[in-house]
Amino acid sequence: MENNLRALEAQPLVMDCAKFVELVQLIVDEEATSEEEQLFKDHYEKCKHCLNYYEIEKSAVAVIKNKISKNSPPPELANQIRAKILES
Amino acid sequence: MAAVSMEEKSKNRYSEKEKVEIFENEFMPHIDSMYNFAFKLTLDEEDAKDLVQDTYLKSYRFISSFEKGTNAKAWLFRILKNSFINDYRKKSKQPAKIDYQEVETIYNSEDADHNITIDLRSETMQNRIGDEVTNALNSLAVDFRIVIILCDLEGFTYEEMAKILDIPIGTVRSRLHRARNLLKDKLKKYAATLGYKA
Repeated sequence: MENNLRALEAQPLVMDCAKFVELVQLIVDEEATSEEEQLFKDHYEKCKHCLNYYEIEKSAVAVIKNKISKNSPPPELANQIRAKILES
Repeated sequence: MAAVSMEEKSKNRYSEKEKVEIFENEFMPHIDSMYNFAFKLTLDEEDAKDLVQDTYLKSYRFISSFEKGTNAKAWLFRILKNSFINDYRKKSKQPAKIDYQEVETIYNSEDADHNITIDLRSETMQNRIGDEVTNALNSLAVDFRIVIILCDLEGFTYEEMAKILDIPIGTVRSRLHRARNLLKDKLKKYAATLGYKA
C-alpha cells in the first residue's frame, strides 16, 4: 500500500491534450496563472501536436484582433451629446 | 486598469463643475470605442448613434454612482450593453437568444477543438481571409459578438467582462471560446469557397 502511494507520487503530473486546449485560450488572452503557464510549457515541450495547435490558434486570434474593422462615430456626435446634456 | 466599480448606488456628491470635468475627462475620451461597440451590436448607423447618445445621457444622470478615477470605460460599456438589451434588442431583427446549453458544453474533446482551428499563419491567407473577418463577426449571435468585441477589440480582461456582462468569469471564458470557434468555423468555410484548405 505504502509503496503504491510512493509510486503515484513519483509519477510526474501528466496533462492531457484536452486540458492543453483550455490552457491555450488562457495563455493567448494573458489570463493564465504562473502555475498554468508552467503546465502549458511542460506539455508543449513534449507534444508537437499541441505546440502546432497553439501556434495556429495564436495566429488566428491575432488575425481576429487585427482584421476586424472599426466603425468611427460621425464627427458631430460628441457635440450633439454635449448639447443634449446642457438641455437636460 | 483600475478596479471596476459598478455598484448601483449613489454615493458621490459631485459639484456641477466636477460632473462636467468627469464627463469630459473620463467619459468622452471613450466615444470612439463606444460607437464602435454600439455599431457592432446594432449594425445600423442611426441606431448606433442613438445608443451612444442614450448611454452618455444616462452616464451623466447617474454620475454620482461612478467613482472618480475608476474604470470609466468598463462602467460606460456596461450601461451601453444594458441599454442595448433593454431598448434595442427587442425591436431589432437580431437572432433569437442563443442556446446556453450549447455554450456550456464547449470543451468538447481535444479532437473537436483541434479541428475547429484555422491556419492563418501565412500572409497570403491573412490577406485573402482578413476582409471576411468583420462579416463573419457580424453574422454571429449578438452574445457571441459581444465577447469578441470586448476581449479582442477592446482588450478587457475576463474579470472586467464578467462585470460588464453580469455573468461569472467561467461563463465569459466558455462563451469566448465558443465565439472564437464559431468565427473560425465561418472563416474556414469561407476559405474553402476560395479553394483553400485551411
